[in-house]
Amino acid sequence: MPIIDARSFENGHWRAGFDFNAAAAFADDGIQQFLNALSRAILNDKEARGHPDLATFGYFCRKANLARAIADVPSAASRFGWGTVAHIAPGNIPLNFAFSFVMGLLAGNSNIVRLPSRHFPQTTLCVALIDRLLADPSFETIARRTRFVQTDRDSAALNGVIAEAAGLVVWGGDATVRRFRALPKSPRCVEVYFPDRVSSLLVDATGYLALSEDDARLSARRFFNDTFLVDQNACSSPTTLFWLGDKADIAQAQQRFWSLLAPILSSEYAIDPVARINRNLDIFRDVITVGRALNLTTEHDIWRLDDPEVLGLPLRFGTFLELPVTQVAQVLDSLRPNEQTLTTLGVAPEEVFRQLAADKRIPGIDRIVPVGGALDISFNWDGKEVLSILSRRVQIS
Amino acid sequence: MTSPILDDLIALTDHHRAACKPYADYCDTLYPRDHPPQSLAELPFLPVRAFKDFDLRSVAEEDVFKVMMSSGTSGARSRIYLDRETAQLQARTLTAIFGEAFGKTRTPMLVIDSESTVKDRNRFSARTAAVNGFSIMGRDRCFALDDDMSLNLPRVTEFLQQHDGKRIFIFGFTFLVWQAFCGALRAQNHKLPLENAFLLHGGGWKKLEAEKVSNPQFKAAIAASTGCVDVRNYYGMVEQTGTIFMECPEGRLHASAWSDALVRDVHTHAALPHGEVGLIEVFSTIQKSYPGHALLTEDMGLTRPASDCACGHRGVIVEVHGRLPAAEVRGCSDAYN
Repeated sequence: MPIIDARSFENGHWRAGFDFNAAAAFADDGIQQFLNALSRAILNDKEARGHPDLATFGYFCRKANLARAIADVPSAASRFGWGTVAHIAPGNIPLNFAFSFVMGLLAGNSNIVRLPSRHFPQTTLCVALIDRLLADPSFETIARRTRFVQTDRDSAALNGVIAEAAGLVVWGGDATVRRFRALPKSPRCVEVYFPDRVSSLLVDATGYLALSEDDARLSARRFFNDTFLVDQNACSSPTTLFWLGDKADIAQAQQRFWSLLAPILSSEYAIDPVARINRNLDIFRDVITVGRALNLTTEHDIWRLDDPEVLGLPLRFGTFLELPVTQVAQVLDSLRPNEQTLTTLGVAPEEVFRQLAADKRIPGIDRIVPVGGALDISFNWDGKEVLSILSRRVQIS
Repeated sequence: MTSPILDDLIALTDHHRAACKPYADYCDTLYPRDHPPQSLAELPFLPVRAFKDFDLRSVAEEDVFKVMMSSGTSGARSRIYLDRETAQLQARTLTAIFGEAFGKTRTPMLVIDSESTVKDRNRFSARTAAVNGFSIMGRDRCFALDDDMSLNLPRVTEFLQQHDGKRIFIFGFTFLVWQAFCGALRAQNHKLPLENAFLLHGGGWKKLEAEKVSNPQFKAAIAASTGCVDVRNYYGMVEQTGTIFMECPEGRLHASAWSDALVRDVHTHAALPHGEVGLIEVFSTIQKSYPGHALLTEDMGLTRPASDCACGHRGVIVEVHGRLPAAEVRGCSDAYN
């Protein structure tokens, strides 16, 4: 079925043929076949492959990736969907809705997915590919449990769906989360919220300096993808950089790191003109908050601060706080309350976790991934096992 | 070429650095003082939106004589703190620029706006400030519009009869002059005898851009419905009251003796040569009570040397093309809409 526009959604005709109370067994064969077919359809489509984020989604739906995720969920065989889950996707990320949909579907639910309000070609293309598959009679039951909708900001019909739904998934933004938390829901509604988060990068100076020129160049590219590709405005984009090592190594590593990033920025990135002005205003807010002038390095048009008092202030559009540490565990002293991801460079995530969690310490983060993986969404997100939450586990004993 | 007001602006920068701590901290962060500025481009500048986000003043709280507010289309409004001295300087400068264009005699004033715009203190806006600011240039003020922005033709006719034969000063915001005045006269097929009047309008063409009205079309329409042929636009903002850029008889906006302008690249903020399009930065030598002497606007446009204009005015020429479009930032922060 095509995307249901705001007007058709309000008048409710879309509900004809939609199984609001239907659910399926967790990752049943039909669902897995559908997602495998979707993965193939995306990866075989020339236009789709031209959108890196859509290709990433195609790989996300691949059999092997899903098999890993399913194996990760305890008692998968005695799990079932709750019913209809409503998904609220952010307006400025083209494909977040699709990942949310797959999580809801794989867990066995019917899904009503609100699409981003802004138009992105890959959003339209992705929905078209899903649609084409759902027209296949073998996926008819999934078609009857799936709706992609556009709604106005304060849609009465959307509020009505949420009041009735068995589950709700809301992505992005504290204000959005507050708004949806406040809406009336069924007493049994299962709710998953992803509010604003912040993230950091840890660079082991020694490990980084030991990288070959090619590998160091590649890590600059990966860091670019984690940050500038999304205007440093995603929850997982690092704003703090922890530099691990002695003073001399750190200075040398910083020099290498930023100068390798510079050519990528100058050839591939232009900060939005309004955002550039906002960056100045951010610095103004920072000096007012801190109460004094800050030491700001503006080399290569990357803005770098070194004052720990800036920690917790919003850094955007290519502004970073750099803090030196002599031990991995020192990172814990400078994590913000809503810290989400720690990307690592020159040191393995497993090693970082081991040191952060040593001596019964609680690592105050939800993800540790290698640089370049900041934006790779997974079924375990923000510390939440989404497939487990979105499925009902029958207790048998 | 160095600006004739560069020394004044350097002195003002020092003054504000000494008197406004947030401004000093901002400048010390972004503009290390390794050498004194050699040109306008090297002076620290503030994004004009800074006055929406922060309270910035270079005078003690008890010396604040008046707080000017901009019209806030998206909620936040600029707050401009004036002491007596700066308020006086602004009025005096405005009078001088006005006098240079139209002569020093105060003439009866027809305001293309409603009285409620200046009366209602809760609706204090750029329009209020502009109407009140320019009112000192005229006398016997008459408001052409009613509260619902409809033209009150009997009142205007009576006003014109009262001042028959005299030169009239017409003032209004560009879109109101176009829609509520010109538009209404055209709709009623009425012509007003304003051959002996001069019209000053400002506030931007944004609302007219949708209708694609050019300055010559605007002037032709005014001449057709009023006979008035001395029509001048000005470029100015509440954040730099006083030092407006006045349109000359050749149709170009010039800086005054108390102001200057340059254009910066939208992507790098590097100063651009005359003729290249970027963000307009405006300078004013009279803003002493708040650090508003060097402001980066969000208006796109270009500059030209004064010598490009036959009018003989020595101030740099500014061409305003429109507002910078709003940002479409990527990422996942609060984007439900």
